[in-house]
Amino acid sequence: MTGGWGFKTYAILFIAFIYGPVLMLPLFSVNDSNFATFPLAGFTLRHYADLWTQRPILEALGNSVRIAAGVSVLATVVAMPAAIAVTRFRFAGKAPALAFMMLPLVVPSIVMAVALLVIVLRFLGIPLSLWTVAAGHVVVCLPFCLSVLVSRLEGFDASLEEASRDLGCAPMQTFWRLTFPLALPGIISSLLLGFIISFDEFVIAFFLTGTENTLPVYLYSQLRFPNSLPGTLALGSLILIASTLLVVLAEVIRRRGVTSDNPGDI
Amino acid sequence: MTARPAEAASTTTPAPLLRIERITKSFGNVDALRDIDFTIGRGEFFSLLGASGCGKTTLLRILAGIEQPTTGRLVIDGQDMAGVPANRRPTNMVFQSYAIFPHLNVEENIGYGLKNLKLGKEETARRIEEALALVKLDGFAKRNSHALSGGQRQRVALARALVMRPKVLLLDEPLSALDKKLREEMQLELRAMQRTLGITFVFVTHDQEEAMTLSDRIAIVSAGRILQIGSPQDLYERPAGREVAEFLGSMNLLPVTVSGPASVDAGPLGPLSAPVKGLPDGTPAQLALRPERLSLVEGEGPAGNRLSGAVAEAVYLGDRIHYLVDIPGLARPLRVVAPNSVAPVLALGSPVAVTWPDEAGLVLGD
Ligand SMILES: Nc1ncnc2c1ncn2[C@@H]1O[C@H](COP(=O)(O)OP(=O)(O)O)[C@@H](O)[C@H]1O
Ligand SMILES: [Mg+2]
Repeated sequence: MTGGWGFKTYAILFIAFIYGPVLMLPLFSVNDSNFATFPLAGFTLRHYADLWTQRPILEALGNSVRIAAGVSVLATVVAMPAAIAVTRFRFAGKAPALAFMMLPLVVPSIVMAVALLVIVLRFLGIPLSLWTVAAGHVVVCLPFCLSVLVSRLEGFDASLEEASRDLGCAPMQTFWRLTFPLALPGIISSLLLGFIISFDEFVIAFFLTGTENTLPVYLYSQLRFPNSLPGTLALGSLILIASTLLVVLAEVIRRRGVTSDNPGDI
Repeated sequence: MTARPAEAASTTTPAPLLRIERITKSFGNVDALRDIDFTIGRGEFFSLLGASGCGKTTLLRILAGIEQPTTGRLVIDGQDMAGVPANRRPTNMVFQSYAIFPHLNVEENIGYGLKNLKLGKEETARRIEEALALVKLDGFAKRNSHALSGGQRQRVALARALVMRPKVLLLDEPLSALDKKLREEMQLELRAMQRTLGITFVFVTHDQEEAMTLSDRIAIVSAGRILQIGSPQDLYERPAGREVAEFLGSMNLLPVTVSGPASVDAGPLGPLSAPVKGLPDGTPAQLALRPERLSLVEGEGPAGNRLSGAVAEAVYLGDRIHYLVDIPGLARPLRVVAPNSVAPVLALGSPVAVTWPDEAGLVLGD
């Protein structure tokens, strides 16, 4: 079983390589020292306690949460009709339209950021602010939300909607009484996904923000000050835990929706 | 081939409720329906019978308003349906997949359409209860829709449509997913229900026995056209052409040439007698003979329509016996169905004569 042994070593190295650096974050965040170096000095939670006394961090956190919440809702609302169109209707140019909506997935975010910056400043003449960050994030989140919703809507029988029409529901009633409840697991995972993507996003926020910061941008700006490093590590650890939970939750909801033969299950 | 003469032959046609006028439907370059033109009477149990892919579902969906005809007109109860969307038509449909709403329980499924009628709480509850009783699902009101068997789903779909009290109920192969025993049970129930409610049923099926069991009239559909419309008896005994003859039940077809008003020439088999209608002498035709109208006699048999041969196969089915008889000069053996009488089953290879009365033969132009 040398093959199995070799593969195991490879898998362990692989995981260590990917997660090792990330796990340094929580490790040093509970280290009783202002420097992220070995040997470890002792266990402390004071970096976490200090966080709550630092106004700029709390402000940046507030900005990020508000942007992420708004962006996830807006991106989901915009993606929903597109997902319905893609799954329910045949129309000319559907494939190119879909490919076009998916494009932000493959465009490097630095290119996207520069392009958006040019559009916002040159063509629209809008001053940079958290609003422009949010707008940029909607663009980035759309393809993710769209693909989650499409995979959900593809999963159920088109004759359900026909039956709803047949029983006297106009299209809007059919949406609220049938499509929406059935798509709910997809909608929830779309919201979660949009939230995480916006919350974590750095490049576009960095380019498009005005005087106020989102959390990732603020953290980056603090790296120059050694004193604030432990606080950054503590905050990073918290974000790491929260994002992991959200991603797992979104995936669980999506999976259950896709594999369940009863699309109404959440 | 036209449907109208055959339709006129049927005995009583009730006042029309549905008028389907020269409807065609194309999907791109697929012609799913071509020039469909007939009427369905009030209170009729009307079936569309045809092989898979012949356009039955498409026609039903056009009646429901889910699909729009490419050309032609549909009138229901005197009202032109052009521009009337599915949600405002006096029709309801039982979908082939049943389309039970998975996020709702039985009661909510049945009440789904009632909400749109704004009947008030009590009337709604009363109607749901009535519908549950009608389809024998009393006690299942709160049952989750995915905890239902195929037969129960079928009943929920039926109740959900019937509770709307439509003028026309459209059913798309509602029984095809059920096992044989349940299917036969549901056939009887459907027929009884249709009689008591007096609702016009348009029933799609590919099962000829089902269509015969249930229908007042049947339209035979093939490749987007209607071949013939008539009562089960009309279609079985007076098929308008070879395709219908072969579609309904089993039929022996002998190639012949018309040789007189009551005779045909069967080539090497000699002259045979059969009533000929509307075909001039010398026309190539098919002599159609139902297996159950043929008799088997051992040996030579009496004079008249008689073909001599040998028993090639005998299948004992209890109440009847199916024989295949090889006739020299005929490419395919004749199928004969004999009632099981006291006479013993004929042995393979026995010399026999197949005989039939003149009027059992039907001469069909090609
Ligand atoms: N939405 C559609 N798009 C393209 N072709 C269709 C569509 N619906 C039906 N057809 C075609 O029309 C023909 C009739 O289909 P259908 O009415 O479903 O037949 P049936 O119900 O008798 O089996 C078939 O050839 C089918 O492929
Ligand atoms: Mg069909």
